Amino acid sequence: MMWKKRNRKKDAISNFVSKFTTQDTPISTKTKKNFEILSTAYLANNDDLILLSINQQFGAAYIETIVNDKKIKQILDYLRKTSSNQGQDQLEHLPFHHSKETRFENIVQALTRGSCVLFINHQKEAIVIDIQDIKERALEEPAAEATIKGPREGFNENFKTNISLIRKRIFNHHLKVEKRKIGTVSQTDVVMLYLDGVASEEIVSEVKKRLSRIEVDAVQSSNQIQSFIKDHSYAIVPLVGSSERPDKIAANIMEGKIAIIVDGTPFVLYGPISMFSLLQAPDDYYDSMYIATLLRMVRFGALFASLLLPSLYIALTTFHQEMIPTALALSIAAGREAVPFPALIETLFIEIIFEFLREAGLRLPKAIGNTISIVGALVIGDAAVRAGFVSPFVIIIVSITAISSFIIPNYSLGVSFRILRFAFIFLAATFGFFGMVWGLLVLYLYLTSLRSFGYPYLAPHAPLFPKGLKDTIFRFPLFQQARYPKFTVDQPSLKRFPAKPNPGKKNREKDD
Amino acid sequence: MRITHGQMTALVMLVLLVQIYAYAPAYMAEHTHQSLWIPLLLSIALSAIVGWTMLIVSEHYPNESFVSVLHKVIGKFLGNIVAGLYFIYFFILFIIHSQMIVTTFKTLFLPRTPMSAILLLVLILALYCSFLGIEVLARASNMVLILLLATILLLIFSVIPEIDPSYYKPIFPQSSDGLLYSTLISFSNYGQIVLLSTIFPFVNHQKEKRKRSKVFGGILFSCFLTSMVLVVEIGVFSPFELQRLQYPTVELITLIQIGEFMERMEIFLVTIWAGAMLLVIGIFFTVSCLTMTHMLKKPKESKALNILLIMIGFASILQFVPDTTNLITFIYGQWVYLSLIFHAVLPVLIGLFFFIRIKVMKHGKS
Amino acid sequence: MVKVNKMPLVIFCLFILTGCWDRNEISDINFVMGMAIDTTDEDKLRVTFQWALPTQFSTEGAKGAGSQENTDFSIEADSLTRAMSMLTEISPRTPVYSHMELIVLGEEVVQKEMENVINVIDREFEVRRTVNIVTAKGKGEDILRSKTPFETVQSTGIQKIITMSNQSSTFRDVNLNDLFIHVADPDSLAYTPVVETVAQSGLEPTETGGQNSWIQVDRVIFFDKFKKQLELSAEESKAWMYVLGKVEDRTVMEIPTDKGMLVTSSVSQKSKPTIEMNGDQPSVKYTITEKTSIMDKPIDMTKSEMEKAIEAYLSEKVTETIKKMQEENHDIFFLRKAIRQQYPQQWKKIRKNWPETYASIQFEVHTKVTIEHQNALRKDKIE
Repeated sequence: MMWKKRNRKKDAISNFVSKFTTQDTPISTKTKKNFEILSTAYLANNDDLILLSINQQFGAAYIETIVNDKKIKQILDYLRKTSSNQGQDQLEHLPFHHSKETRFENIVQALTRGSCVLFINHQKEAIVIDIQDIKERALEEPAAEATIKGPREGFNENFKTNISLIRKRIFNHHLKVEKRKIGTVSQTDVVMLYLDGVASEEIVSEVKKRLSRIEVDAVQSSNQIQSFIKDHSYAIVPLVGSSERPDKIAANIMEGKIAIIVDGTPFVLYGPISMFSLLQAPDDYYDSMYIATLLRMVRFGALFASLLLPSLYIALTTFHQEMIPTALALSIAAGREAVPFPALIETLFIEIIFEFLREAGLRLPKAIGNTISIVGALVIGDAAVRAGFVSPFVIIIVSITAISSFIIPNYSLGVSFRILRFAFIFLAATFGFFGMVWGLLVLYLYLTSLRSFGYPYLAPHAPLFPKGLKDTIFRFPLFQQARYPKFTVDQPSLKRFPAKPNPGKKNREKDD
Repeated sequence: MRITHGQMTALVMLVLLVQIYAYAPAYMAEHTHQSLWIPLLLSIALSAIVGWTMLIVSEHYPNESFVSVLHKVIGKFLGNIVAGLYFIYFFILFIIHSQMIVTTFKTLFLPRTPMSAILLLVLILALYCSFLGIEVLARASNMVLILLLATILLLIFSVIPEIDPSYYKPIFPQSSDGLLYSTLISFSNYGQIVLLSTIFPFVNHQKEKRKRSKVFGGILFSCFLTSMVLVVEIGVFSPFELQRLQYPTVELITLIQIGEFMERMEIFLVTIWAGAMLLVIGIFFTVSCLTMTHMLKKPKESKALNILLIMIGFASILQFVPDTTNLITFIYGQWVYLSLIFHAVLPVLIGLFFFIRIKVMKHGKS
Repeated sequence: MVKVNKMPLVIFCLFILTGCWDRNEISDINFVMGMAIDTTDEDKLRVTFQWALPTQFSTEGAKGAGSQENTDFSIEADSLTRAMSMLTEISPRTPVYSHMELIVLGEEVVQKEMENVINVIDREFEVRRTVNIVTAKGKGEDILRSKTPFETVQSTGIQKIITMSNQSSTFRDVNLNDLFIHVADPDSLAYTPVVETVAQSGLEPTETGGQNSWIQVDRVIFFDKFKKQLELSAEESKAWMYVLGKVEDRTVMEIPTDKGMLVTSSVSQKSKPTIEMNGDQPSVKYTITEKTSIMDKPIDMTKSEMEKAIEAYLSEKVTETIKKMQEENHDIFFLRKAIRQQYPQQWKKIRKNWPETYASIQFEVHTKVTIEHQNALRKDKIE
């Protein structure tokens, strides 16, 4: 038994992509030899690798597609001048930020990250100058999280830009930026940001531990990181927040939460989160508390509508007709008169058609997108009713459901509720309201049992802290939110600022 | 994760809030007519005494499970017997509540659905609850409690215009016939307060001070609120009509009419009640599983035991209380008396032992 | 481990979720809106069901609702249960009674079969406790087959007449709940409003019934334990409403005075019975208060004169009715119940010889009328 297991483990290790490496050797003192090793052993078949030898003294190697052309020109110019005049000594005072490497593994690593490597004849060390230049997209307004009164900039794919977007909102040395590389092949930069002294040390070290445990060959998007670090691997709802908005991330960091930037994705992760924070939109904080509270209630209603409306329709029309007011019941019955399918099939049919439309709308170029909406609205909606395929009420129900699922600010939450909706449709079609309440209670208990970095997912509702409710369904004025959310900071007595409603009423009224 | 005093109160309140108005009003009205408030008050007072005793005993041994508290108070052997009895008690309550919700839905809303299908759904949920553990249930109970309280208050306030005050007269009964039985009926509900002592060990004592009065205030409030439902039912239906009604509260809901459109709400309100009821079933099942594991001294909760218990539950519901009539004859024929052992005899026994032990200990010290 | 545990659960859930046992599509339902119960000569029940045609309630159907379709069906059967099951023999859709709005009891049913009929209705959970119940003068079937203005379904029309537009205060609306409560009480009479068919041209009672007649509701009928006891006239019903203190607002009353006709409209009305016991002999005092507004008045009649005139008229009418009921031994004012509630000890003795006690009760009627405002729109007549 024992030896079998061990054998399998060995096999498993040698099967990883990252384990294919050439044997590591120190660099040679001859530039030519070094060039040879690079172009045959490590970077064979890489046509964008440039190897230049200058005055028989220096050898410069770089990959031209990821380096800054201007900088490389400067370096080369400098080298040409140096070699003809003073010689090697001047290299000690190279006017570029540089480091020295002796082993090929590190040098190749640096090359692939966009550095220029200088080999010098008769020297055991090579000089590595970072001149990486990666093409990046301009800062744009995030499409999925647009605001009316908020700032217009969003993250892009470059992690350095993203860090600077956050740094420019918190000019403070307490903002900690910790970098690490994840992905044994891709070597993607992952940066963790938090506000030292505010963020719970327990959570910070837990996140670090979880990040260091990740073993994967490549990281394409932040969502992949998210699936490795969340508390419950199979959770259907998002347990780690993600946002494209620097202002939102900065605000979360200020609340003692932790942000994780992954190079190559504009979506920055943050946590711990609760489900109610996913129902908050940035505009809530940029407008009056009254409209924010109203809108949050609307969103809360939309959450339930997107989850339950189709199943409510099925339960009412096929199980509990006595609950519909008589006139309405009769007109629903009249609408269904010519429909040959049961309400379940009817609803599923329109729901699935709607999912088709939604998927199609995502893939289509914008110009054709309009056509799809016309086709969807006119042809399918109207014609299906006229053909006696579905009843007009189902169209209304599914449209309202669709609209309300777009009201949910967090896309991932909307998606998970979209999936759950189908479960509720089946429950309602079998047991009517009993099935629905059963499903709701299971869902509620499930959500209650979830945690995000150890923080209860439904807090402050379950467990209930009445004081924490000031920023959930209601949005109290800012001066009332001086306390940190419970559990996210280590010291419960810590306050964000002295809570005063008004900076003093010393002004004399002008008309006195 | 430990629970707070508030969560413990919510759990016990929820348990007390779901049952009494289901079938009891008809039986109580049959025996005491319009003076139904007297047995209600009496049983609330009795339950308060029992609850208080259990709370004091539990507070004396913080962080110890109910079974080990029993061991310490009345000795290993007796303690095991009493713990076993309480396990049976919680299990019976679990069965009663499960069948109550199943039979309610089957008779009123889903007549053609096979009982076992509904029952399976209920039991799956109970099993899931027991896997999640009492902490999650405690956290979930707050919102469910608020919802249920709001529903009951809505019900009470919306039928107040239908009340005919003359139905309460004469206020005092002419004879004491039936008073005892009615008190037993309502005590068999409110006596479930003894659940307190099994949940109490989960409360976090390091972080919180004692909140006896708040805990008790909440529990008594829920007792009074459910009593209000019964009293309102007398005023709306008259004692004579109330006697005939198997599901008086559901029929009460059918009378709700607020404005032109707020009517026909029974399924909505019954659904909310069902949600609370399902949670209570989960609580009872979890608690009986806990008592069992503590008794067997297993270090960890084993899922196999829970699954075994759920299967026993399924079989015994099908065997002993397969329909409404059986359930009602069981509750009002036997359970009303049987529950007295757990609600009165054993708590008094534990209280006495505890009192003596404390006295002896004090003497020993001085 | 996790996968192994979850797979059977998923399969099991799918298994459960595939059976839709109680499914009943809304378009496969026959919405029974009203029910009329009569007896036939062969001692059978003749039950008339009335249902709604959904097409008449949709916007498209309303446009072309010219054709009158048959929505009533009468079934003769031994019992109501049998009749209800026979309805499924002719109805392609499942009859559902949860939307029923009206139950009409024929005049003969009230005399013979009422107990059985009501018991069947009581057992049916689908029939809501808020369904209005009326007694028909003549055949209940004729009531359902006649017409009410505005409404497509007759039952809805009658139900609305009873509950919404009542301004004559000659009856109280009664739903099943009220009826059950009164029937369940051993010392109480039960009552329902009386519906009759009238000719379309005027409020003349007609014998023919059917399509050409309309509906009128104008008085109350009393039962004692499912047996018809008496039927009040419209006048008496009104007096009864005054004694109960349940007169609807805007009830119009015409009072002949020496100086001419006085027309009032009720604003609010209350009544307070006071029962006193002298040994075993109760005496009852009614204090009837009313707030009214004047709609028309004779010239030069002062406010206090008008109040006095109304008071006198009211107490005359009420005393008259009470006298009559006392003579005929009809406890329509629920005195037995009131005495039982207030004097439970004495009631035990009185109960045995109630008729004699009732006949000898001293009644006192106090009326107190306040005129809230005088609404005459036009000036007084110019002589």
